[in-house]
Amino acid sequence: MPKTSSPALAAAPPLPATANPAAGTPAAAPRYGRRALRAFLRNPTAIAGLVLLALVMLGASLAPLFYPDDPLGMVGRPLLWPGRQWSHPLGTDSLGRDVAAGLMHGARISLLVGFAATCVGLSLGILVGAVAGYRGGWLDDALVRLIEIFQAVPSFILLVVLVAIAQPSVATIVGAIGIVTWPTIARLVRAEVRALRSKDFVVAARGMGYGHGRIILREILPNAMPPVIVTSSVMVASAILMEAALSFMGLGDPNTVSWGSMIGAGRELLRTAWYLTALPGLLIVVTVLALNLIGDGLNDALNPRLEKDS
Amino acid sequence: MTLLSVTDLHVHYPSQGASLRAVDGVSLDVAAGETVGLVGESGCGKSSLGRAVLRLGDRTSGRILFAGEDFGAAPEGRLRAFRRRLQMIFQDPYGSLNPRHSVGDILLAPLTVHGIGKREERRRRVHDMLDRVGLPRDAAHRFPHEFSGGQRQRIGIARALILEPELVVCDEPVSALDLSIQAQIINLLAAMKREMNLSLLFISHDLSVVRYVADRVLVMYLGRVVESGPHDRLWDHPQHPYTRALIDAVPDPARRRHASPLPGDLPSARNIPAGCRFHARCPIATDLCRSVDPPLRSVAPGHQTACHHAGH
Repeated sequence: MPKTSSPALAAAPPLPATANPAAGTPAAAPRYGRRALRAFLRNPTAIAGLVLLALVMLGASLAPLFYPDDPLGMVGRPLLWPGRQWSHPLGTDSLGRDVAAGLMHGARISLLVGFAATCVGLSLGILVGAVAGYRGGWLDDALVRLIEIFQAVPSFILLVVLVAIAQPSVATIVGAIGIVTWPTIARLVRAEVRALRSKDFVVAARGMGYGHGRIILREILPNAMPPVIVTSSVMVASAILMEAALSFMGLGDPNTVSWGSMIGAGRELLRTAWYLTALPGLLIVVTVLALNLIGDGLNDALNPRLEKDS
Repeated sequence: MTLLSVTDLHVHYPSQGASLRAVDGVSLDVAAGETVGLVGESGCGKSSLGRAVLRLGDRTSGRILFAGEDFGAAPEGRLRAFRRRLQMIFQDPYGSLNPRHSVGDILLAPLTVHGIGKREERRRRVHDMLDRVGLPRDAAHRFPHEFSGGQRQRIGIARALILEPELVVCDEPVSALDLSIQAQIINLLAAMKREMNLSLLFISHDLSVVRYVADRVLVMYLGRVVESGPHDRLWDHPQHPYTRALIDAVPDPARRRHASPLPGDLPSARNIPAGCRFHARCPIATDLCRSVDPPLRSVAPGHQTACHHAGH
């Protein structure tokens, strides 16, 4: 540290430790996003999660190819065990519906609901969180109260009530899960935006005369995204679980097959035909695990505190 | 011609008990083309003042006139036109650049927002500005983290100057840099100032830095200006004991003067001492100083000080 400052000014701010010019060597360091992606792809658990999720997605996308007919149609002898009949490799349920067809078509619903509900929750949460964190004042107070009201209600009960009122369908389930999950994102985004709002580069943006929209969208939100991205991968997993739980209780979309409804239908035969619950249950576990592994990998890659020298 | 005129500016931060009076009645003028240095130890309110002047921080009261127009009272919708003419250079070259934007984007955005030029002309201006602050043109495609502290400060200067402002507030622009880099950045600022005929309000805790750039110096202590004057006169004939202590404390082998550090710390801005706010640390304080707050008064043309004992 250069010592031109005098003893009388010893109270002057200490130079930040980061003021070392060696910190930014002009060597071609890749931009932040690419570096994070590389760290993510070098993480074995993240790769495992990606592979598992890719397999589930593959199954979902191939469903219409393998089983072009309605998976709810009765196609064989009821309660056929897996491996007994070539045409129904994973057996049939008590109504003679093909389990493999149900699993593959169910994957479509689970993934659709998981990702769509997360999108709804993210949009609502980011909108409310960004406005509350950026504006501050009474609007912030009001929005924080709103978030707290939502978080004070047990989320699954709220979800059941919403779906029961709105009539179960894929769209209403997606909307209801989004409404139940947005407060988490809103809290997170609000905290990030509040912290970033007073950063020098945001003050500089105001000094340049940028509009509020530009400051929020281009200056603040891109820097607030890493924790949101991490959280949203776990949100997809919990949305899948919520949809499964709803379907298990008979509150799913009656016109589509889903893993939860398969478990619900098989639960009375748990002792005689356990494969009816075990197979969809296993797929739920695998999918949720895959998303959590991806979330962990994203956290390691995007969280600067854990960032190793790379 | 006076470009910026600030009258009786107050910045008080409300808190439990007494509010924190960061800036407590400061008036200052910056003439066109003039560099005014603002010195004082950290916590004296100089950064709060700098931000309040640009309406980037809180302001409790006070008038701000810019080029004769009432900038301080302008409604938010009319600020943008002023923003183009008033810019700021920040202390921290790391925190003041958005890590997600390339240098080209950082320099291009102000032009886009203010609708200056066509695409081609904007690009030309960005390249031109990179040349002028001594950065390679390919810097435009790189990101702030790829640069050193000094280079980042050049980016910050380029951003502040690309709109061709009239006044730039420099808030400790070199105190986060290595000594060797400090000189380069100060020289760059001085050169840009000459080239673009800028007015600068140069805030620093370091009198020896201000010495190189300022035409006129204001010394701030605990939210007030305690002495102001042309830089040479202030340096040679300091009237306020605080200014004297600051000057004595600058290492100078030629003078070989012994620096006697001021006793005590800066008092809290929540609890400002009665009388002269410097009396507790002042070597020549008398009973008068403990009871009566000295006003800023003229001791010579253009030279003012707030000390009862000045000129004796």
